[in-house]
Amino acid sequence: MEPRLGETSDEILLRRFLDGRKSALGELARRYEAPLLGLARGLLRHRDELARDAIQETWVRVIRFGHTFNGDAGLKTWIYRIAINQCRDLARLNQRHETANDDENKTESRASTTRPDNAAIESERDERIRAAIDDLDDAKREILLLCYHEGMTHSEAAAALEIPIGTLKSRLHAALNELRESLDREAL
Amino acid sequence: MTTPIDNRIESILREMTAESKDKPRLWQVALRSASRKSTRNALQRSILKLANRPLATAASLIIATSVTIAAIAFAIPSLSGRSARATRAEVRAQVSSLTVDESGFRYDAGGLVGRDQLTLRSPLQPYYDTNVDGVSDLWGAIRSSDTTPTQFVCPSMGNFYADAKDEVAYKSDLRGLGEEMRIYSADAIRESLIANDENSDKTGPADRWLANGAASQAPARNDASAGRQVIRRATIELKTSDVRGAFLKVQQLLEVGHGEYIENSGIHGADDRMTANLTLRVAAIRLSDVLNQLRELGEVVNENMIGEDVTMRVVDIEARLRNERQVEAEVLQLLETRKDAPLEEILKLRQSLATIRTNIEQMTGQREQLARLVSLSTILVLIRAGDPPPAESPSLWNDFVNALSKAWRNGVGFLGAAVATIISVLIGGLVFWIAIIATLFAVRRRLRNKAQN
Repeated sequence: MEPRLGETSDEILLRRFLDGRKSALGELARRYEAPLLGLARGLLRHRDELARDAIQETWVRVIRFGHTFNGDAGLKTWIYRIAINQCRDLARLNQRHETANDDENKTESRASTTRPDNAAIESERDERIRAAIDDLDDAKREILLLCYHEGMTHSEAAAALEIPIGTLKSRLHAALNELRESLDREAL
Repeated sequence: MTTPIDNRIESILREMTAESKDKPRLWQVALRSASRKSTRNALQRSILKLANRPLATAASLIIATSVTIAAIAFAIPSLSGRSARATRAEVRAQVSSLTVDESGFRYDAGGLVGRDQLTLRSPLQPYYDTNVDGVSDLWGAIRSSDTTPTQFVCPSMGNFYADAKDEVAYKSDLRGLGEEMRIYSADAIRESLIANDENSDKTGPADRWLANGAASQAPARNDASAGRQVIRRATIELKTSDVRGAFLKVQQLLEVGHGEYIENSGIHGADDRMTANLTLRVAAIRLSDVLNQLRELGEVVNENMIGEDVTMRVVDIEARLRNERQVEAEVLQLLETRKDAPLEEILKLRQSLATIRTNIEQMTGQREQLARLVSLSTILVLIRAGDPPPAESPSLWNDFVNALSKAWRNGVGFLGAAVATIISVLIGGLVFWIAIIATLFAVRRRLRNKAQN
């Protein structure tokens, strides 16, 4: 008896989708679309439209190039790799625009994430932390967000970034140190 | 050691990439988008798919191309180098080209295949229904509803005739393709039979016909003894259980001393379907003897004989020959007496002499040929083990069966030729196919690289 979609592995779902069952893609999306969209929002600095575009394009690529998936890595890793690449591409494409309106965007961004009771100390601290994270360069920021992304192990993150896990850990350590130093400097 | 700030950093990082609360169902948008893109990129994806399986793709391509070529080749018979098989319409067209000459009328049966029903019409005979089989060892029948006897002449099967309302079954021991059938008028038959049958035995159908009154219309037979030159052709059809034995005995009837020989012979089939045929050339004076001996080898099913009086032709040739020789002598005499004539005249005389001598040689050859034909009569002996299959009467069922049989033969023929064409395309286009496979490999590699990037 054929297992229900919810119990089926990602790879089998992809195969079924390629065989013509659209519902299999729906099940994959149910598993990964929300986390991917969250990650994309983080990577694209909370620009919601860009994040949606990135994930939509991710699914387009899964649909178009699903037949090239060779199973070397897990399907989840493969999809995340596509999503990260899409985020990078979109971020790069929007870099000029972003640079031109940098200050305005940052103000808008922070305003949008600022809570109404921002007078509270904790909120101020959180705001400083977010600002410090956003000030990190893209590579370090990407490592941090990916490593602390819900449900993502370090191994999966390393595979998604196509780097050895040792490299990932050292970069994560370096990124955290820089973030801490940045916060310390700001506190002083 | 983890500090409170680290915990907070971790918490904020998790919060920054937390699952989206809204459900935009982007995958459905992507599906529609991919569908639109797929239309735009259909060719590219098809190539990619094909490139993933280059060998299978190439094989499919080759087979599809070959089958297409074969189909086109068969759709246009001129391309395949095969002439269209005779159809009913074509047969009728052939028959309509009947020509009438002094000896009667004739039509060319060449190209007839299968069991094509013919209806022949001519001013000389009301009609003939002819069931012509184009394949060897098949039987046909000619029915005449005319009230006068009719002679049929087929070089491959000898001569025979149909009596009034008679039905004559015949077997074409050759393939029947390209065979010429001549149908003589009653007057021509009567004339030839009367003129040449002075030595025939009275047991054959020709003799029966003569005995039934035709002979009464004949001129005096004594004419035959007055130096008549007659070419005789007889056909005898025998039925015997021992076809091979009879076949061997027929060969022993010949006397080499008289210059007799077997022109051709053959034995076909097995058991009840075994048949044999021999064309004998026997001395004219021994024709009756040989026919009598043949009749003893089995049951005589059919027998006929015709004679072609070539006396007038021989006389004509002799007269022309004498005349040419006379002219030759005169020219020679002129050359002797006019040695001082201008060179141009001498050359003209020599030219004339050469022409005269060529004519003399040709006529001498014709006379010798006729003499051979007269001195050696031809007997076509047909031997078979069983009764011939009955001639099929035209009916809807027979038409259906015939059409089915023809369709099957055509189908099998087409299949065989198609396979042959496919093989020829496979081998002939080897370089082309290799180029296609190489291209597919290259495209696959390129598209894969593109996809991975």
